[in-house]
Amino acid sequence: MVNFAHAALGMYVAFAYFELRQTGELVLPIIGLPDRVSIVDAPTIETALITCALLSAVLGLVIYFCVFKWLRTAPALARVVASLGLLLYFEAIVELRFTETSATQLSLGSILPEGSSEWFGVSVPNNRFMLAGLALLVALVLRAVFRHTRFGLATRAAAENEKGVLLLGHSPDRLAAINWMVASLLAGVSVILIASVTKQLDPLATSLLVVPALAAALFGGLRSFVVTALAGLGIGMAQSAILNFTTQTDWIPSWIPQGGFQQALPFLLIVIALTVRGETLPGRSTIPESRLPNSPHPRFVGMTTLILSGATLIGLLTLDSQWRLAIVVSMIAALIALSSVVLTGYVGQISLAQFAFAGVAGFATAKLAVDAGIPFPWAPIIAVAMTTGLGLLVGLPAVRVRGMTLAVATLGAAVAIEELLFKSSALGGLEGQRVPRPRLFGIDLGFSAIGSDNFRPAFGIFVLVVLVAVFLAVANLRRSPTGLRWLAVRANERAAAASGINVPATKLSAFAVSSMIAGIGGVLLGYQLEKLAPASFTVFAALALLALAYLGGIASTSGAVIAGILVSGGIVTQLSGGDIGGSPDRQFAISGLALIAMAILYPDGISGAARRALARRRRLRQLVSNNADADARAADRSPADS
Amino acid sequence: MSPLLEVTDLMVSYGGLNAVDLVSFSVEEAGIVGLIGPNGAGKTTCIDALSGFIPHATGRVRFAGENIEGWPAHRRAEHGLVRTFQSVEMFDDLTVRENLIVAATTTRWWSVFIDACRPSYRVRNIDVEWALEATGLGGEGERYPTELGHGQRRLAGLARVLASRPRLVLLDEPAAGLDSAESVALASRLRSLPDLGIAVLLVDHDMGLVLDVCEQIHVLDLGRVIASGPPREVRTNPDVVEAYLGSEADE
Ligand SMILES: Nc1ncnc2c1ncn2[C@@H]1O[C@H](COP(=O)(O)OP(=O)(O)O)[C@@H](O)[C@H]1O
Ligand SMILES: [Mg+2]
Repeated sequence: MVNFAHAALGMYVAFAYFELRQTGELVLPIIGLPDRVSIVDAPTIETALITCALLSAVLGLVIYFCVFKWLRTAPALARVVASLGLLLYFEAIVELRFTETSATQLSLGSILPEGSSEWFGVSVPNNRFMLAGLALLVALVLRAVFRHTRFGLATRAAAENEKGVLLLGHSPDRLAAINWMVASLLAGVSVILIASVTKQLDPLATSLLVVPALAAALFGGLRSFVVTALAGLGIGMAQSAILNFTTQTDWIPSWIPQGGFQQALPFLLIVIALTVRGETLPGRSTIPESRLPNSPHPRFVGMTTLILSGATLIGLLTLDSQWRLAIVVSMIAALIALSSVVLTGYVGQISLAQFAFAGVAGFATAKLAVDAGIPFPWAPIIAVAMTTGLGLLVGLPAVRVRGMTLAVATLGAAVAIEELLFKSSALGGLEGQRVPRPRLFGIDLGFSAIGSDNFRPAFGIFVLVVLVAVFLAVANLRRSPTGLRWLAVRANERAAAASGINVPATKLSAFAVSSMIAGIGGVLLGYQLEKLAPASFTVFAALALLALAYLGGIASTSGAVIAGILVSGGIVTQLSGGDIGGSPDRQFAISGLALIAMAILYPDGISGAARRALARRRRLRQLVSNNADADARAADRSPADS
Repeated sequence: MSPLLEVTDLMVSYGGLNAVDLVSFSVEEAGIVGLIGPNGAGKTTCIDALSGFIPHATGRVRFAGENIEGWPAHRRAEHGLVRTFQSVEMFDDLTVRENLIVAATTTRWWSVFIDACRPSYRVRNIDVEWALEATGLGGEGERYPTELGHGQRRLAGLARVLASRPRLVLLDEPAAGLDSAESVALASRLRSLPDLGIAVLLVDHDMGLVLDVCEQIHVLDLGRVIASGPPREVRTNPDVVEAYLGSEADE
């Protein structure tokens, strides 16, 4: 079980710890329960640590029994999405319960002793060594426990074969629950310690600590505690060393952002190591994943497209400017969600880098237009072509790794793209990069205007035309032999290869197509925003977008449309007048929970659930009319019988 | 004329265990050859190696005049060397007909662009319809593999390999789990394949079907070929009786 929300849980617990130390109140993370309970007036480090350790263990237990227990046999995608829901939830809870002021004013008092020593000319604080030593110690203890106790052996056996463990008289549920408690406790305590040493606790950055942590764990084959701890320490040390190196040398081009290499490089190395170690086709004993989201044959495509685009067109031409903005936001989100439908829905390759592709295309368009002076249709076309190439590159690991590992690899790619490119000073840095207005045959297709004309319908129509074209192309693909081959690869790679499908090439072609679509979406987003900054394409927004696509229905074109309608700032937001379910954070928390529920109950998303409801009603109506016929026939016959 | 498939010294080892140990045999054009042996003899491993699923297999494999060692699985399939799986392995999200279309169509790198622009693909393919008829699944094309009974699922697996118009099919225990009537029907279908120009390598651990259908039989035990010959000879070969009785006694 891999959990993207693991560091987020630790992050929450760390916030709770510092708040507890300061105010003596424990903040509870569950909506509906009281916000905070008073524990003691002035807790010592020990009481606070123990309270928070208990809190993390209980949280782990709750998470296991409410979420992951139900997903034990679910495909990797459902587990990724559920843990993304959890991540969103923790982020929102921290924003809700620890108000801005108290979060920044947390006194991050240290727990480990201060002081530093000199190593190879670099001064290293002693507490870093203690932290590293502690990590190794914990790894060794865990290794001993899992090697030599009945509990450890049973757990390892359960990971291999649940039925066998059941036969031996262990409850897999109880084993899993204990492991969740231990894991959550470790996450909580380690984030507290890390924050107390680095004096930094940022909700987002801390949650994303999960990326290097997962990379290290995957390097240890999700099996070896010691290798994992060493790999983790290795990543950390390499990051410091790179930081040191980059500040001292000058042959690294200045456009590469400070800290970019530090964030990206060690991680890329691990992804490469994992990829080299992977296998092109899964082994004989690999069981194909179960219960993947259903991908229905699209029906009435022409009709639906006509109705939807007609309605959108009327909306763009008649509604006010806020509505026009909401419609455009929804359409662009639907476009980017379509890229996930192709790659994750049809071909089963989980990618968390789609939004990063969009960003690359957006920035590239701006750069080509502003610096190279390339005019409108050509700048975005070249930019999308470049993005397609990048998509192929990021897709390379997919040839040899799958499922969770691929999700982590693509998330790492997204982080690397953000750190190395989006934050680069050459792209305007934090200031942002201006995107010139699109103009075709003398017609201004730009978005903004002055006064009540703002948010020009012309841009909306331009986006609509592009969206309809891409939507039809994706629907066509699903119905074509190419789409069938994609679904075949998703269902069973070995059988696909035996049917003459070049599995690696198929995956790469899907990466190319989907990054092309994401790139088109990114170009449009650039034209909509008119100024791009690193904040336009954060990793966090990327996670939210995949979650939304899943919520809509990841394996169908209509799911992407639903995702677009639901997106924050889109049509649903506009309909509700901007406030559904209270503050945006509360909204986030609730959508996180909705996502978890969806992953467990309706893996086919909203579109799938709707389709099933319709089918049931049709069956019911058929049944009723059949019965009526039978009754009528019986009535016809009965007078004759008597 | 040289045989369609010629295997020389095929070898697959896992750790110290030789799952397939210097196996050599050949299959003639439109021939029908049996490979039998008790459970764990290495039959499936042999098919895996021949169809390109075990990269570390060694030995020489010639197919239709080409040395195909080192070819990936999909390339062997495109050249007409296809296999079925012991556990069928259908694409459960696709209908039976769509399963067959996947095997029957070949694509090029530009197919993606053509398919994206073609509004509606008419699902008619003579090879697919022929394969459905040949396996008696003509009426089941629109059903999903999970809706079929076990026997029909196995037939659908067979139909899928036939839809690619192969030259040689490697069948891994096609009769496993079939009742005796289904088994008899399968035997007559298999016997008709050579007339269509399709050679068969039939793998089974049950001697019945293989003795009934094949012209030539190789018996595998612990990865080695312990006997070869026409059904009559193999049936009475003392080594074969010993291998089978031995494994029976263990069970
Ligand atoms: N991936 C593998 N790793 C290790 N051993 C394997 C692997 N695949 C097969 N074997 C071993 O190879 C031997 C032959 O197996 P198999 O080909 O499945 O036999 P059969 O199909 O004749 O029943 C068995 O002893 C099996 O344990
Ligand atoms: Mg076998």
